[in-house]
Amino acid sequence: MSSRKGVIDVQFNWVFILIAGVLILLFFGSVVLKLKDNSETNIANNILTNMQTIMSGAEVSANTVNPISIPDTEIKVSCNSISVGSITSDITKNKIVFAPDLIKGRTMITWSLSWAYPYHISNFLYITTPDFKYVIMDSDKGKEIYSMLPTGINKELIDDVSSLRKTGHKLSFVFFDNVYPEDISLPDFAGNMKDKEVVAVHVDSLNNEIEFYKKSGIRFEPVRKMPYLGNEMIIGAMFSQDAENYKCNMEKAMEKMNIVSMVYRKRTEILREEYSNTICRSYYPLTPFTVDYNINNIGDIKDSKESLEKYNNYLQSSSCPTIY
Amino acid sequence: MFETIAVLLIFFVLIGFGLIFYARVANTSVSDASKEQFQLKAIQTAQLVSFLPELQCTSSTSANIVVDDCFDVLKVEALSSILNDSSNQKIKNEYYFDSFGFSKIHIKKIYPSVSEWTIYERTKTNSRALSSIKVPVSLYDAVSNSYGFGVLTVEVYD
Amino acid sequence: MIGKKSQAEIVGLVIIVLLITVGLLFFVKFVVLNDSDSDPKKNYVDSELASNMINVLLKTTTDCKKSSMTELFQDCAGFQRIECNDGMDSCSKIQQVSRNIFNNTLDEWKKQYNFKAYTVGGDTIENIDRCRPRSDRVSKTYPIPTDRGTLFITLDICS
Repeated sequence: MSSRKGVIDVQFNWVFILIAGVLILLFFGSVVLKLKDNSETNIANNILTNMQTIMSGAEVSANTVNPISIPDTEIKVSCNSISVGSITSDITKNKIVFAPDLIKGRTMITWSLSWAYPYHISNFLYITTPDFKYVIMDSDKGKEIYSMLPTGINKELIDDVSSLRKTGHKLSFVFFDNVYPEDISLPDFAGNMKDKEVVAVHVDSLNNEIEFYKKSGIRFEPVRKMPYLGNEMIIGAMFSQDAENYKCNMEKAMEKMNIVSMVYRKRTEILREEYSNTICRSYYPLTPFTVDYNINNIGDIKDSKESLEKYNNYLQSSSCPTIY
Repeated sequence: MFETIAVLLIFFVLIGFGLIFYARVANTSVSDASKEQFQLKAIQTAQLVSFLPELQCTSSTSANIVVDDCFDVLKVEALSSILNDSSNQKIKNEYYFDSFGFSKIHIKKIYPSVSEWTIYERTKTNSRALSSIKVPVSLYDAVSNSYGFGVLTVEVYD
Repeated sequence: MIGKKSQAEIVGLVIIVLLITVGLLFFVKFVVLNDSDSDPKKNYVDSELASNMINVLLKTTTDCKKSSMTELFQDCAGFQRIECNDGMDSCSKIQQVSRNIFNNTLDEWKKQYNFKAYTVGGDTIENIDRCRPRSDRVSKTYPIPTDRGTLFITLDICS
């Protein structure tokens, strides 16, 4: 009898150990998983907070290039938001950020430029990584853009696409005026790269238009035409690589331009009133400010800018307070 | 067997205490971090306002060169009248709210004369905290070509 | 057998003591040694306030022949050629303007400060001392070249 009880006891002990062991393992397993989740969320939050700080910094100080070490995670950037994993942070309307849609690797390069048209409107922030190379076709405008890009960014000025050598970078081509992407054939190594890794834009400086292209085999196919205002936007198109992202940022820039222009219009009205009995009055025009600041109205905006520049020069030479 | 159960019970009680303690510490650090974030928000807003192209003085030689710690009085007047105009409430409530949120941005000229402008105001009725920053700024008057002394006050509501 | 059991109990006790010690260490680290002084706003305000204050003050145009405060400081430390329309000289004007500005700013905000303008030779042009002795201070100094050497403008924000 007692030996039977002993057998049951031993068996029960094993069952008990098994259940308790499983429970303990499950408990610690779930704690570890929770902590892992928590730490991933913390890392993502840290990255996003740092990104917001970088964007705020760029917003207040132009012409600064910063190579920044980042954890080896994927950062998704769109015009209105930035996300790491499942955590997303908004990019406010006053922040204009041109960046590829996916940032990967250990280093991220941020760079900002002041955009004035003709008065200072905003600072554009550009984000890239050392994986990207900007290949600029040689021309007067090309040289201008090439010299604007800082040394920390991979860039190459070339006459002929066939002279390009394989360096392992993703390529972003920029063509100007009478050299069109659809007229060229990519070298073999570029043709063999994934279509998403090679993009091109064509800048028509006469009509202030940028056309976005995607790669198909060894050729480029046009995707969409968009307007631009100033070299800063051409660089924006090169960095954003995507017509939709560029369009969204351009609309943000136009909204900001509209508000800043309202302020300058009001300021000009005040000056016009103050100097109503002097020679200065005639140089405070209000018509250039009546333009509709819209991406479909680039021609008028360009004319308005030229007109304001002209009047500002008159005011400066007549020792009157300037418009901007 | 009862001994084993008792040991396990004590073991889990100890683990429980550990977890409660960890949760409390984590909670405190989260609340500290959110307080710090709120203070940083006030600093960021003050910085953002200090460098607003709508307010900043620009150099007469180049529109790209901005003068530090300086607001153009005519721009201040212009922006405050634009944002206080009922026809521009969309700009205030959408565009600027996106950047400044619930806050008050106020500029006071204290020398040579006294005048005040409220650039932006969006208060919160059930605000838990208020963080305020005062920044001395030059106020450039293009008409008299002179610089006054002013103070930018940024109040951020949590 | 009994000896073995008591050894096991002692090991158990040691483990419990170790656990409690580790717990206490965590408590001390996170609760007692919690750095509550890290106020980012205060650090920013104190360091930026001093430099902004001097920067803006020196740029300010006064009602004395439209001279800036920098020009008045240069004249006061130099040959004192400027005479204002209200009969004041540059040194008195500096005192009037700076006291007006400080009254309406740092005094009103109940900030302790020490504003001092002095030459290398040791002459003091202006000294407004509202700091408690031996208090911690953030200091900013601006040198201004004058006809008689360099003039230093210093503003300490005390806490």
